[in-house]
Amino acid sequence: MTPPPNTEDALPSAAHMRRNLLPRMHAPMRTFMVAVLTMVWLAALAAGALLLLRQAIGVWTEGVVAEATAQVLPLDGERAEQTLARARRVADALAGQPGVRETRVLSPAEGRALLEPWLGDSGLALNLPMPVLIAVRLDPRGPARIEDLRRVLKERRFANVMLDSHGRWVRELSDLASTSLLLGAGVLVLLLLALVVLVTHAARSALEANRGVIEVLHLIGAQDRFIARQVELHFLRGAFLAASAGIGLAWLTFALLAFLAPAVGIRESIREVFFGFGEQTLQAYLIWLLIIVITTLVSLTAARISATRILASMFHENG
Amino acid sequence: MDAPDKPAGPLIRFENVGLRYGAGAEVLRDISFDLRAGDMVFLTGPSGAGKSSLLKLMYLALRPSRGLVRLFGQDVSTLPRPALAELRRRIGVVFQDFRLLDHLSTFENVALPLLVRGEQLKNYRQDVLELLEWVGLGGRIHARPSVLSGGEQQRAAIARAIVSRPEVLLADEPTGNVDPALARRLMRLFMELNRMGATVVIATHDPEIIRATPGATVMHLNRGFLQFHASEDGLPLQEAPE
Ligand SMILES: Nc1ncnc2c1ncn2[C@@H]1O[C@H](COP(=O)(O)OP(=O)(O)OP(=O)(O)O)[C@@H](O)[C@H]1O
Ligand SMILES: [Mg+2]
Repeated sequence: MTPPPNTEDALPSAAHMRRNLLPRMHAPMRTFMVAVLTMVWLAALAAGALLLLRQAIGVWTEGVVAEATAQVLPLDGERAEQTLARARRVADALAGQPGVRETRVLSPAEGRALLEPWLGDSGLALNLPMPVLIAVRLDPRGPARIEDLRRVLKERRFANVMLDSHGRWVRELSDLASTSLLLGAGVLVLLLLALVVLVTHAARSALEANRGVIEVLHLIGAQDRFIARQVELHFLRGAFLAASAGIGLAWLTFALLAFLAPAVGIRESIREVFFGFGEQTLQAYLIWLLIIVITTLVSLTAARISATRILASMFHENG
Repeated sequence: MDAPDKPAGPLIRFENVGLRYGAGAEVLRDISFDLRAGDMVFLTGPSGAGKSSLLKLMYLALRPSRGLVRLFGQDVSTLPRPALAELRRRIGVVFQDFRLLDHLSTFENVALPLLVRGEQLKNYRQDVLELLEWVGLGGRIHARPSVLSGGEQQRAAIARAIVSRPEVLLADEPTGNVDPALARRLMRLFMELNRMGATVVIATHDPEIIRATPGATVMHLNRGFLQFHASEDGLPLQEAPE
C-alpha cells in the first residue's frame, strides 16, 4: 500500500483545491453557462445592430443634408439650348457661394432618367418642355443655407429657378431614424431584462443543485463568509467565461457578416463599426465590455443571494 | 459518565431535549445527559429510534424543538453563526451516508476540514497522507469517492472526521460497511483517539464491538427515550419494534 514515489508531486495545490470546492462542470452549471452565453450573444448582436443602424442613419442623413437641387424651368418660348445655357449660369453663380462644394448641370438624358418614374418611358416625354436640373453639393461641415442661395438667385435676377433643399426628406428621414433607433434601444433593453431574469434563475438552480456540497462544507466547520466567497468566485469565473464566449461569438457573427452580408453597404458599415480604428469601433467594444461586466455582476449577485438563503436554511429554527 | 475526577464541566449537555421533524410526532423526548472530556459512548437502539437524529443535534445540523443543548459550555441556541462554525470545528463527524464530495479526490475530501479553516496545505499535506496510509487508502488518494468500495468510502469518511484532531468524535454506524477485521482496526483507532482525550460517540447496531470495548457507556434509545448501561453488560434486550 506504499504510494508511488511521485504521489505527492501529483497532489493538487491549495489554490486548485479552493477553486474546485464547488463542482466545475455538472449539468446545472453547464445550463447556467449556456444561458449566459446565449443571452450575452443576443444582447451583443442587438447592441451591434443598433450601432450599425445609427451609423447607417448618419450616412444617409449626411448625404441628404449635403445636397440640394435647383430646377431651371423653361421660360415661355425659350428653346432647350437657351434653358441649358441659363442653367449653366445659375450653376456658376451658386458654385461661388460659401458652403457650396460644387454644382453640376445634369444632362437632359440624366434629367429624363430622374423623371422617368413619374412620366413613364414614353416618347411623349421628349416633347414636353423639360426643366434642367442642377445638383448642388453642399459642404457637409457647413452647408450653405437655402434661403441665402435663394437670395443670391433673386439678386442676380434669375427667373423661373426653383431651389429645393430636400428639407422635407431630411425631416422625415430623421423621424424615421429616431423611431427606429428608439425601437432598437427598446429591444436591447428588453433583451437585457430577459438576460437578468434568465441568468438569475439559472444561477439559482445551479447553486440549488449544490446544496449538498454547501451543507457538507457548513457541517465540517466552514464559515458562512468562506462559503459565500467560494460561491462568488465560482460564479464570477463561470459567468465571465461564458459572457466572454458570448461576446466572442457575436464578434465572429459580425466578422462573417462583414464578408457574407448580401448588400455591399452593410458589409462596409460592419467593417467600419466593428473592425475599424475609429471612435465607433471603440464604442462598440466598450458596450460589449459593459455587457460582460453587467452579466458577471448579475450572476455574482444572484449567486450570493441564493447562497445566503441556502445557508440561512441550515441550522434553522425548524430543523 | 459524571466521573468526578474529570475537572472541566461537561463538553456536551442535553437538558430535556425534544425533537420533532416539521409537524410530526416527537422523535426524541426528554433527552438529558452529560458527556465529559474523554468519555467513550455507544449509542444504540432499533432502526428509526432516533440515533442519527440525536447525533445531528450534537453536531449542530439541527436545533432542538425544545430543551437545552450546551456544547463546550455554551448554549447553542443563543450563539451567533460564526461562533457555531467555531464549535463545529471542534467536532468530527462520520455521517451514516458518508457525505463525501464526489467531485473531489479522496485526498481533497479528507483535507477538506483543514482547507475550510484556512490552514496552509504545506502544513497538513503530510498529516493527511499519513492518515490515509493508516486507514489503508494510501493507494487511493487520487480516486473519486464514486469509484471507491463501500468500505473504502467508510474509511475516507472516518479519516475526514479525525483529520483535524477534534475534541469530540461523532460516528454514525462507522463499522457498518467493513469486514470484522477492519471493524476491529477502526475501533482501535477510535479507542486510541479516546485515550488521547477525545470524547467519542459511536452509533452502532453491532453488539460485538460494544462488548469488545470495556469501560464504555451505552446509551440506548427506544421510542424516543434514553436508557444508560455499561458496555460490559452488553446490549439490553431489544424491545420489540412497534
Ligand atoms: N429529515 C427528516 N424528516 C422527517 N422525519 C425524519 C427525518 N429524519 C429522520 N426522520 C424520522 O425520525 C425517526 C428517527 O430517524 P433516525 O434517522 O434518527 O433513526 P436512526 O436511529 O438513526 O435509524 P437507523 O438505525 O436506521 O439509522 C425516524 O422515524 C425517521 O423516519
Ligand atoms: Mg441512523
